[in-house]
Amino acid sequence: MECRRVRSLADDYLDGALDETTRNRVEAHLEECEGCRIELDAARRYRDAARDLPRVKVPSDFLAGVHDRLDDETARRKGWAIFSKPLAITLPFGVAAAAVAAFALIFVLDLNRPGSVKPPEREAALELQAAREEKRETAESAVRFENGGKKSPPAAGRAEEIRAKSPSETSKDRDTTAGPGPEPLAITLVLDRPSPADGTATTSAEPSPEAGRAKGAGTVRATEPEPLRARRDELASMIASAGGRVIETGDEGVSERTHAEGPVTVLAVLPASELSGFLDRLAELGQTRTERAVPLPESTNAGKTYELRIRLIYRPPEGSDTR
Amino acid sequence: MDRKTQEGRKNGRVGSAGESEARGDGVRNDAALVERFRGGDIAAFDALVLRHQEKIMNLCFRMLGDYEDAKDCAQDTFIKVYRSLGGFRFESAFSTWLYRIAVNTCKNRLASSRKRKRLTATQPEFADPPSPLLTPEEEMEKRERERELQRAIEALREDFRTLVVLRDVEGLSYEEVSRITGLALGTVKSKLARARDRLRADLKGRL
Repeated sequence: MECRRVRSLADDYLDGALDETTRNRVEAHLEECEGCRIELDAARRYRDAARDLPRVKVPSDFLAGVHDRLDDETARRKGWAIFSKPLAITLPFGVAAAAVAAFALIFVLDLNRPGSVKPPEREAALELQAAREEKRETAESAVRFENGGKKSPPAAGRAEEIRAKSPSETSKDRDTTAGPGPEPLAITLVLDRPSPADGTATTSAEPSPEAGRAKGAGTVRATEPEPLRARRDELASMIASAGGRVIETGDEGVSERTHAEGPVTVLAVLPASELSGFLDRLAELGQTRTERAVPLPESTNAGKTYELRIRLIYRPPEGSDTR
Repeated sequence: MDRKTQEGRKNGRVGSAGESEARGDGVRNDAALVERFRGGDIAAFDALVLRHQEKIMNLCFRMLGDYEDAKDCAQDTFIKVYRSLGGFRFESAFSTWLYRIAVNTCKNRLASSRKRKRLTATQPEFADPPSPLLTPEEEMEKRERERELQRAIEALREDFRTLVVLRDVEGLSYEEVSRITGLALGTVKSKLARARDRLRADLKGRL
């Protein structure tokens, strides 16, 4: 038998797994071959050393430790089970129904509380009502502004008329426009051309009686609601392109109540960040006046909106003939 | 001559001819305990732990080389057994199933310990007292040889280490090693031959 063959059978020889004939041949070779004896001795020493490796002692608390860990694991699973178990199973039906009713009642009461969050439909209705109320205020404040700016006797007279209202009536009017937020920013845009389409006053429009009185007063020499509506539509598209939206427009009823010149008004909201640029574009259309200082588009205004009340007035250039 | 019959085995190791009947009894005892546990007798689980804890603790220590890690893994093994015993279908012996769980638990621990390695291994407490036949110097030399062998086993790649521990340290039969590892018998033998060659080369002149 060759050395290579004997060394390949060494494990089986040491395991006692060889048949008698093969084992005898291996042993015969080992008696003659010192190299294979050395190899087999090394293999045997390794085996003995591995088999004689000392046994480690089992800790005395081994089984208790298994119990403790099982208990901990069970407790953790129970803890999670409380959260993972459906609520409907743990609550009797009556208790669950009472809880649902209580939540519903709280929700309804909360909706009626001032300053509470409103559903979109309710919020839109309130916004529309506020816009209508403010529409009347628009005319009054616009008239006050014009009177203060031009000091025209008839306008001043109308302003006096407004101021001459009884305190209770005035406060009543104010109450109707009072809201949780700040007053809309009132802007008056004085146009020297009523329509963006042509450069002259539209002669087809019949001046209203109110317009006639205004013309006679000299402050606003002419208002022509129909052509101003074209400007209003242009204004609406400007508002939309600035990311805002028009809440309401009007040119009727306003003058009936205040006896103003029947101005075209636009109530709109605009992102605070767009306000400055929008006013610049507005100034390109005509002379603008604002009721109060325009707030700067500060970073803290990011995401906020401003409510604008824009009043359009047509006033032809000095010396031009509107008719 | 059959060395197995000549040498016998130490306590806790299996495989001698004289122990085969005991093993047969052990298998029957394991099966009876498993059935008792399934019947609601929690004490039967304790009996299973006490019967096998020494073998599993030593297997884990030789696989991991750290006493505390070995204790954790051995306890993990029995916790997994507790959780899974209801689904055990006796397709293999309980001990084979138990060893398989222990080996897999150790492999998982080895994979995770590659990420967080202990700075120093916790030293074991040995079951056997020092031999009265050896002088203190001889005893010290023996311990040093054992540490060398343990370090060489730990240096083996994982599959070689598993086979060496199961066969050469724990003394399980090739067939049982094959059942535990899921490797074919021929693969077990050829891999073991390569593992032993590597160990002998590593320990040349030190055993």
